[in-house]
Amino acid sequence: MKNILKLEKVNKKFTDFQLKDVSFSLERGFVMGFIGKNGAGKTTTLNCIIGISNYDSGEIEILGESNRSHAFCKLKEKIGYVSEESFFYENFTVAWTGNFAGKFYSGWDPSLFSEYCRRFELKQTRKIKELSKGMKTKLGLAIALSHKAELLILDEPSSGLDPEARRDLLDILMEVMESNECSILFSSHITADIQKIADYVCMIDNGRIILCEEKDKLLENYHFVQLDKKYRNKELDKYLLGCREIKNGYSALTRDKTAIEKLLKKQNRSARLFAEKPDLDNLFLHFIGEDK
Amino acid sequence: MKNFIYKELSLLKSQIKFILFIAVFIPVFFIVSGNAVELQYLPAIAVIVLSLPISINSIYIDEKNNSNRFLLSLPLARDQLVKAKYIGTSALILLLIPLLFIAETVIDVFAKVNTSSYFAIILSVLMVILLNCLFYPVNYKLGYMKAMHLYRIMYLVVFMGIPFLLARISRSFSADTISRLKKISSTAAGIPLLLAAACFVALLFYLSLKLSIVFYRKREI
Repeated sequence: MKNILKLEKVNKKFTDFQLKDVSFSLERGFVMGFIGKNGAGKTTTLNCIIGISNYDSGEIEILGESNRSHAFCKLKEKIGYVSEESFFYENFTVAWTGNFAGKFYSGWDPSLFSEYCRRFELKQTRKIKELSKGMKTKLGLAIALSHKAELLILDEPSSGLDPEARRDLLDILMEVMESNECSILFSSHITADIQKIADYVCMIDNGRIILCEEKDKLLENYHFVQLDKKYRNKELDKYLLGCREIKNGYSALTRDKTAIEKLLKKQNRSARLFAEKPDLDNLFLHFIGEDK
Repeated sequence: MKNFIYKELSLLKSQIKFILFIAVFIPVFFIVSGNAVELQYLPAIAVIVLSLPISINSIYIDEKNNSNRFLLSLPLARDQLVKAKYIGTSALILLLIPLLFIAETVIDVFAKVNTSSYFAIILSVLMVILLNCLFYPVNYKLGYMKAMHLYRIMYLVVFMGIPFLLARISRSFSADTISRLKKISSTAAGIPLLLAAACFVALLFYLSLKLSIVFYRKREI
């Protein structure tokens, strides 16, 4: 079984929002970064995967089983999930929460949980309501990592963390990847985190997947270009993606830098093209941003 | 399932002060007021009053912390969560029976008041479970806030309706019939009646559980 996770035309309708034909897959042993603006559908998609939300049509397969099948409940033992918000019982302690969650996993390792608590500086005697948002995320991670999950689904895990904790989190995720052959689906606004650890990048906007590609190929295939306003025309626009106005011109992405150079030369021999390899942040801005 | 009973017991810890307060306040109130008639019904009243925090608090805390999301991320199915809630809270309410039997015996011996019979205690427990069986499907369908309105109405109906019903019964039936009914409830002759009530509640429990499962499968968390 190559794919550990596969979504096929998943649809879900709310009154004011809709997931439309969401399809992507994640191979075993890889990390996928899931990027999108607020309200783009990241959390809804992850909730559908883990079974917190129902979906109207389509199919989600995890470890070869539909997440609507009876077997999925047992399969959740192999999934670690960290949500954007904390949903733990506020009046209970870290130790109680870990102990309670651990009772449902056959692969639960209490010493590993204690080790992660120590590493995340989580005092086990503290009540959940006394923890900051970042500490609650760390507790979620400690639980998700303490039962030898094969698939980690992390919903904005780094959003409440300080830079040091974020670096620790990424280091731990890389360690887990190396030691467990674990796969990770990781949603985030922070493209630098995704650039650091993801093998694949999946972008979602307004409930639709707009791009899902191997990160290195994505960064290799696209160029970030800046052009003077006067050179913009329909013929050139065919090669440009996500045009954004900037001072004295516009920026865009292109898959065919050579074609643009040729066109510009044809139009005006003195025209110069500024082109460079984009980072994920630039890709995100131009793919998700409106054409202007 | 034992994990959930452990969870329900742990949730109850936050209510322990309230339960202890009620457990001490009600007997003291009735003893100080010197009204032997009210004291007679003390164990049966205690069932209703002590069961309230168990069933409502359990759902309230899950709702307040939005913990169903946490629970659903664990290797559990929605059906299991509903079953666990039904069985967990009912098990705790049933646990009250031996405690109240002890309380009844203590009152009988020390206050020298012939309290409501064991029959009345078991009947009260069944009534609370029955009320929960009506409440839970509404909760799983409409959510806690809307269901709570219904629950309050149900309790008002029960608290105000029962004395009204008892007054009607005492007026409608002769003293002889009522004393025969009392006799039935205090002897072994009441056991078949109790079993019939228990069977009815068990049937309702099953139907309510099935309905809640159907509602919860479709509900957006």
